Amino acid sequence: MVNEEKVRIMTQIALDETKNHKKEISEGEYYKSDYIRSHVISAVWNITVSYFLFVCLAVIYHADYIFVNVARLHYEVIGFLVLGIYAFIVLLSILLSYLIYSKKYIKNKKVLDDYCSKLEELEHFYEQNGEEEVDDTITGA
Amino acid sequence: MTQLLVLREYLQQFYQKKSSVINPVFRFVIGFIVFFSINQVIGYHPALNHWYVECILALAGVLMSGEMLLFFVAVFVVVHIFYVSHILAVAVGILLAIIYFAYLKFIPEHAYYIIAFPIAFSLNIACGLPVLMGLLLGPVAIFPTVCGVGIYYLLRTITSVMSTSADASLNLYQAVIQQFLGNEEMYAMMAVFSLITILVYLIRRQEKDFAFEMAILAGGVANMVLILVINYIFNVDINMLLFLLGSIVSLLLVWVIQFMRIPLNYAGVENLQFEDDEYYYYVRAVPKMNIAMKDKSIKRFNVRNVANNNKQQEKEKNEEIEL
Repeated sequence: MVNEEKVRIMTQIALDETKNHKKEISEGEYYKSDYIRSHVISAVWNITVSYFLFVCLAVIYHADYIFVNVARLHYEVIGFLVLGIYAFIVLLSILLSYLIYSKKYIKNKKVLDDYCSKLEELEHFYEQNGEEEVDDTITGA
Repeated sequence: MTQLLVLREYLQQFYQKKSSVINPVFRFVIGFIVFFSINQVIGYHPALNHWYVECILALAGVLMSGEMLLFFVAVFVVVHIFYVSHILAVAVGILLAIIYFAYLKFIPEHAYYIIAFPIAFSLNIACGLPVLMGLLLGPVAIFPTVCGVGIYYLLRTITSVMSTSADASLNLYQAVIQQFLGNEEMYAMMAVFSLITILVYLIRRQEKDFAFEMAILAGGVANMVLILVINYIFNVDINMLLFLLGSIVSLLLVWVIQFMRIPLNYAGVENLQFEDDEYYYYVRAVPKMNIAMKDKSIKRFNVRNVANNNKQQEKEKNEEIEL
């Protein structure tokens, strides 16, 4: 016979896994330090690509001037300026992403705790009824 | 109001029942509007500027995820520009890539708000968009607002430069960038829309009755007045009737979205006060409006009796005949 309470919990778990908290659950296997580090690296990579593209745009914009004055440009000053700005932006992005993803990890942990409590509740159902062990694939994960 | 609540309930139930059909249809309509609007603004490529191409792309959009559709929209824009200037297309492609890597990689859901701005401008309903974003997002809405307005003015700058210049070389790119960065109207529009977003956010957070409705009204009126002031300062010719009509329609749409989202019953507000070991609480609880749908079911009473009576009458008639 269908147990309504069990079906309700399984539906909630399936919704969490496939829709509501899909990302949080997929990232749930990380330790805090790994989680933050991976996101900080990702942020630095994204910022680096953006900055490189921005520099490309600026070079295209000043292409005429660069071609005419290619021998007279102060490459040390330009290089120092470009790298200096890049270093500043990267440091800022590291700091911001560290703060944001530390907060997000704590938020995700609450979601995961809730998800785990639902799984335990489901397991409890199976234990009570002496049925087969919980099948991880049952919710379509 | 009761009729609206009934309609809301009906629509919700209808959506729940038919969501498998409504979702693709809705995605198709949105996709069509997006590609149609882009063709209206920068429809340079003759092969792409047709209603059937818009239909085909919108149909393809039904099968794609939201992010994929947005990627195709960006490609669609770049292909249009590529037709008139290769270097400008590369530059616009790089600019869109910068927005993606530096911003949308971190907050992907903002892509929808950004793309909404050029579309809303081309459909003349941009007035309601910052109001809606103030209701849905809060101060963080400033970022998609600035990006969305920027992209719209970039496309407009490209069309205006294209209409005056036949040059397709590097000079064209420089002219577009110079005109784009020197566009004071764009900065004013960014500032006004950001201001309206914050204003709506601040009003809707007030602990007052009809805070959401007041936010929509105040934000809408302020937005209309400020846009008119900007148009006056920068000598922009607009069709006043179309502007007012578009603004009112967009604000009505925002109100409908808000009503469908959270209908609040201010007549049933409860102010509670209680305490625990650490705090003393002042709580203001506003109930959500809910209404039970009229469930029309026709019950026939005495159906059996009528049938029995008919049978009995026939029997009696037969007996009389036999006699």
